[in-house]
Amino acid sequence: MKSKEDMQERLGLGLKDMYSSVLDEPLPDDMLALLDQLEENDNSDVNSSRPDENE
Amino acid sequence: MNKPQALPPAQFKQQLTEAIPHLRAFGRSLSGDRDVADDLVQDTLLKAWAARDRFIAGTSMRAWTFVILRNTFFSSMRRKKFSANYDELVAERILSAPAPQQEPLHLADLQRGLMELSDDQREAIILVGAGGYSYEEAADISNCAVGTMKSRVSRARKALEAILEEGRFTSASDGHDNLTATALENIIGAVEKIAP
Repeated sequence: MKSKEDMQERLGLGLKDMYSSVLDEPLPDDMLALLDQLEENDNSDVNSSRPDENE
Repeated sequence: MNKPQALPPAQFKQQLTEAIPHLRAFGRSLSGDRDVADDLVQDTLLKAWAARDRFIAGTSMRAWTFVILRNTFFSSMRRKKFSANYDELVAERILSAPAPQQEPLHLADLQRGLMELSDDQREAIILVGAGGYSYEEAADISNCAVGTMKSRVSRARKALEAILEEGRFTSASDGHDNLTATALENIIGAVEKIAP
């Protein structure tokens, strides 16, 4: 019975460790660059659709 | 009735950025592969941004993006863009043991064990057992009843314990063809072949 409890405990900790170890990794630059690009595209869309105030 | 409030773009981007580590952890546990997971996350970010008007301020960005990621993964598996796999190089790591006298659990074994489970069970134990989500949150993400989620987690735990205890790995965790072809998917595939 003890070994079954041990296995359950090891499994629980192992799963949490597997998951949390990824959380500690630095964010990949390409993902941050992608979000910057998406935001920039949005801003340029808004600017291009805004009427020219000088007209 | 008031229309749900959308987040301003800067706040949306901030919350999406904060969700990235969790998306990577979920994606990697689900696929067993670092590169596949990062591709999945990139797809998820693009889809989330395109659908940002549908995100309701004050709700969980993490849960919302998890739904996008798992839907992308499972629908792409059907089209064979991604396949559940496990990463032998990354998996060499030893996971922390609960007590010094106990045998350490190897990440490789755990990842291979996860790949032996059905997609439903794997997702369930990752969300609840690894990610720490409540049964209710996990059921929302997986679009199933809470009782179904509890049952999936329970069956996944038992199966995983048995696999790890007995070292009972099959070819399902070895390679790249761990696709779950349900009867419905087979029918859809057949219809697609027939349809002009």
